[in-house]
Amino acid sequence: MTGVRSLGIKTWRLFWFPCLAVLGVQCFSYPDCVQDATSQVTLALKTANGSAVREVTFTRITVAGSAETFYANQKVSSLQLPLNANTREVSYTFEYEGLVKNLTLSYTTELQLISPECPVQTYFLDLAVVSSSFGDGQVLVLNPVVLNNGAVHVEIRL
Amino acid sequence: MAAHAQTTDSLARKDFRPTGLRLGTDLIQLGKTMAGSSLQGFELNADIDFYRYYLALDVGQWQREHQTLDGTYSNNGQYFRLGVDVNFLTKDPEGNMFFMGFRYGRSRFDERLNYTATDTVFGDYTNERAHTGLTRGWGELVTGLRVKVWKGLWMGYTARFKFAPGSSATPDDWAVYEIPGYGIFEDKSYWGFNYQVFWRIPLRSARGLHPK
Repeated sequence: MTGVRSLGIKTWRLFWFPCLAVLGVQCFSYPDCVQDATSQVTLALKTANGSAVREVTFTRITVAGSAETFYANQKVSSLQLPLNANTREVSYTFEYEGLVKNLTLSYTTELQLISPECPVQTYFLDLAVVSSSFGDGQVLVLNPVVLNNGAVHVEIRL
Repeated sequence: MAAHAQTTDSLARKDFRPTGLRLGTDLIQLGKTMAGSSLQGFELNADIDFYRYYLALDVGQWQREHQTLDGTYSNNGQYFRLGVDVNFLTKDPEGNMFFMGFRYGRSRFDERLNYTATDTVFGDYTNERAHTGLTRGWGELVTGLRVKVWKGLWMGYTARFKFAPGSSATPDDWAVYEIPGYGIFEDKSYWGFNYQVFWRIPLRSARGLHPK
């Protein structure tokens, strides 16, 4: 009687443990792709004293290292311009109202693999002004971490 | 009556001399390796008893390769976990265990990333990063069972709540992705599960330590 009971317990154990193993494996989860990294820096255009939004009609904006032009003949009060993940600086040329102005921004990057199912994310950090022809104190970095969260990163007063 | 008195006396004495060394391995890890999973490796487990406390050591080898959306990621490393389990089934006649405990884990590993990024403005580019000789530690709270199946053969499982996986900082601009023995770094806490088989080597008679 004891032997039968003992055998029964062992059989139960042999069945029960694989079931627990399967349950355990089922508990594994995989991360979601978090798309908060962006290579687009957002620039807000303000009046010279920074008190109001300024709308500007651009002839065009060009970026060093690219043949593409941006905001050609467009009237806007904010801009989204590309950062180059392969360099640590990017230079923009703004043509508007008969003027030509330059702005060079520097930054560092950080790569992150969130999951094999997601593209490698490049985060742009430590955004700073290297040089500007807009005038002293007319270009301000408001947010040095470039994330896809709607924040303004740079303010240009003109 | 006499046996009961002896048992009570043995428990009251709290004999901390070890009675057996259990050596085992994780069957889930072995199964994944044999099935050709992206995770290749093995894990060896050992514990030794000191009354109701068990000193536990796990050592493992881990090699992973992923085809990512835009390239490949691979890592390769070794890890260990060291900690203590407390058995809550002190009156089980066969010494079966329901335990809770903690571990400190540490891994030494290399990882490599190759990918091609799409950039419509500056042009597509291929990037390669590699880390060698990184070390990271983490903590674990563990719970599980150890059940004697036949003679020296034991089976068991361990559920692990892993946390605090060290720093993501590296010598370059690529953050750590996965730590062998822990898992994906970005998950600041992580569940792990081992389904284990052990063989127990008796070191001395456990008679009197476990009430019949």
